[in-house]
Amino acid sequence: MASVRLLYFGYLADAAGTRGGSVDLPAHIGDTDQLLDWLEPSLAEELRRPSVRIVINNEIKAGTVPIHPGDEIGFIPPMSGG
Amino acid sequence: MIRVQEEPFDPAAETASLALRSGNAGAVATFIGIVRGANEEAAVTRLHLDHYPGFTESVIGRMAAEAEARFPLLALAVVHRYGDLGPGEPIVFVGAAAEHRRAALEAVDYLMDRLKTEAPFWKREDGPTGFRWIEPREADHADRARWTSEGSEDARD
Repeated sequence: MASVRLLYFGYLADAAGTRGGSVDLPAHIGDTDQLLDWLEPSLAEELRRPSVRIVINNEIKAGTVPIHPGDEIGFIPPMSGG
Repeated sequence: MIRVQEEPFDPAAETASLALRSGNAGAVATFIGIVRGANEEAAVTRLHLDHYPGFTESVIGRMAAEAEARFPLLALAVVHRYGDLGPGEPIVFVGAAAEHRRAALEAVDYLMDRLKTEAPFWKREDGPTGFRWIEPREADHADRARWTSEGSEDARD
């Protein structure tokens, strides 16, 4: 079982009902697509929107990305500062 | 100099500090973004900014480095707040110092366009009838696109 940190930002924290934290993943989960399949379906649907980006260990990633124990995985809606 | 902070900041003090660090600059340009009391006619009583500790600083740091590579600057400052802000409060300060005005003015314009579309912040407007999360507008993306040309360092989606 791999422990990772899942983080949700902006409206996604509202959708998840949490800002995130450490999660123990079942052994068969090796990438972000498998992670989304494992999450609660209505949350996964929000996270699969094309506008949502995945940040792994402070780098924005595109497509399906491998997950390793200890990774910090952030789900972010479109960004807007200023 | 980049700071992402919850506490209010003093734009005049930031400008003075930038000018002090810039040596013999002939030009200092600054921009101060202020929380509006209404957006698209809806009253805003409070603006909440979510940020991604670590990632937010790292993205803004990369933007600042790209601004320094693109314009001949003597000093640069970005101060951005997160947390809860009220109407009239400064939310962002961008300042650039250069030998001549064009580089300073353009660097500030460039950084603001990038902050509006690429800085990891998420804004929630709270008003009398509820709240809404806001996202960059088409105009913000169009402003950002002005700085992207073929072969330029930051040409990417």
